Amino acid sequence: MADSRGLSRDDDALAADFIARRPDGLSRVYERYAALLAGVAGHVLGERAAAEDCLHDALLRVWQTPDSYRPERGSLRAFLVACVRNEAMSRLRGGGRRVERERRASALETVTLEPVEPADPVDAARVRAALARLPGEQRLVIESAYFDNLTQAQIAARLGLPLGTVKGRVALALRKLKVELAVEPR
Amino acid sequence: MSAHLDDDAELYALGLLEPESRARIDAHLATCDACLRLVGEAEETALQLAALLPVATPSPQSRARLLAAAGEPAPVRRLAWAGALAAALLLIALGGAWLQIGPARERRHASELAVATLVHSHFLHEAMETRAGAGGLAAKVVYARDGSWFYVLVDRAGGEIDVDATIAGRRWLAGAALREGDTATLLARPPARADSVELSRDGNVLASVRLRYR
Repeated sequence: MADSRGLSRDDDALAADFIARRPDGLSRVYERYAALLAGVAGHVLGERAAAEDCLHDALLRVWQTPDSYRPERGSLRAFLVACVRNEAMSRLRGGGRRVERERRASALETVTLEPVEPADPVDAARVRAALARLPGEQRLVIESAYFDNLTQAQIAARLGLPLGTVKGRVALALRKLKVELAVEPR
Repeated sequence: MSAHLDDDAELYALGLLEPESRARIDAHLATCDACLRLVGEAEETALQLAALLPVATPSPQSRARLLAAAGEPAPVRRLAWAGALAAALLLIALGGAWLQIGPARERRHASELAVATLVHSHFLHEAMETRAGAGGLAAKVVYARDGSWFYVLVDRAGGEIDVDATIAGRRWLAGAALREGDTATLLARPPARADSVELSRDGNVLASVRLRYR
């Protein structure tokens, strides 16, 4: 049985074991979320070894840091995805891919989501529909940030906007996306 | 108490902040439940964007390395209480099947996904060309006409198989094929149409094929 966030009792039990640092807590978290987390890291870093290193370091850090996750925050899954993505983005910023990303930012590439066929087509269609309902300028900043993995400065350069405007627009776009995702399909 | 978050909650969730800013926010979140909930809400929304990303299968070594680093016993060591002899006898009695409990769940999910994908798609297939040193390995790639997925099937795998693709001249990691006996499979969903697929082990190419969309 899953709730409105798509979470099951298994997720809740897993989170409880993770918080208590029970002996097989990390192993079970890995079993349940590794494919999702590796996909997130792989999307940013693009190479298997780099993605696995990123996953390793991010999971080890949150496991070894007491109170790194509290249930008041939200789901463990969302927290771990954010941790892995942040770790991956840090590595991307510090790695040798800067030149490539700047090339992509300056080329004003059109972001196309259609070719991506994720694990759950129904869920993906719902998210695509919600993104499509965003105002164009908001959709563009979300796509630049999340799917093209650009930094705030790169988004500003791509769109010709001041940095402060980008920051505000990204935040507004994510809040609007939350509203759109809550809309039931007709 | 440090300042409450404003737009930083969303930027944090999307991975747009530098490590120094994140560390400052983490310190604040430890003492501020209101901001913790704001970040959590933003992370739940960002999580849904991940539904548009292809999932990947990390290598078994990756899992073992993490558990070892965390000091968490690997499954085989959980039977230490019974002694090495008892564990060995149990392994023999069960044909090693108990070791597959975790992977089996993952495999069942992957298998269901592959069946559903194939049944609802139009697809093509190509046999892979094997290289010297591939042993008796034989492999085929079944792939969607629109390039949205490909499914690698390997017979006589002879060990772990890594699957990579070339997309617009760049390498893309698909993951480690899931082994079942001496066969292995992997359903991959590349970010764009794959031009070719390659199998390797320990960095040595075993087989490759160019995908022709027609």
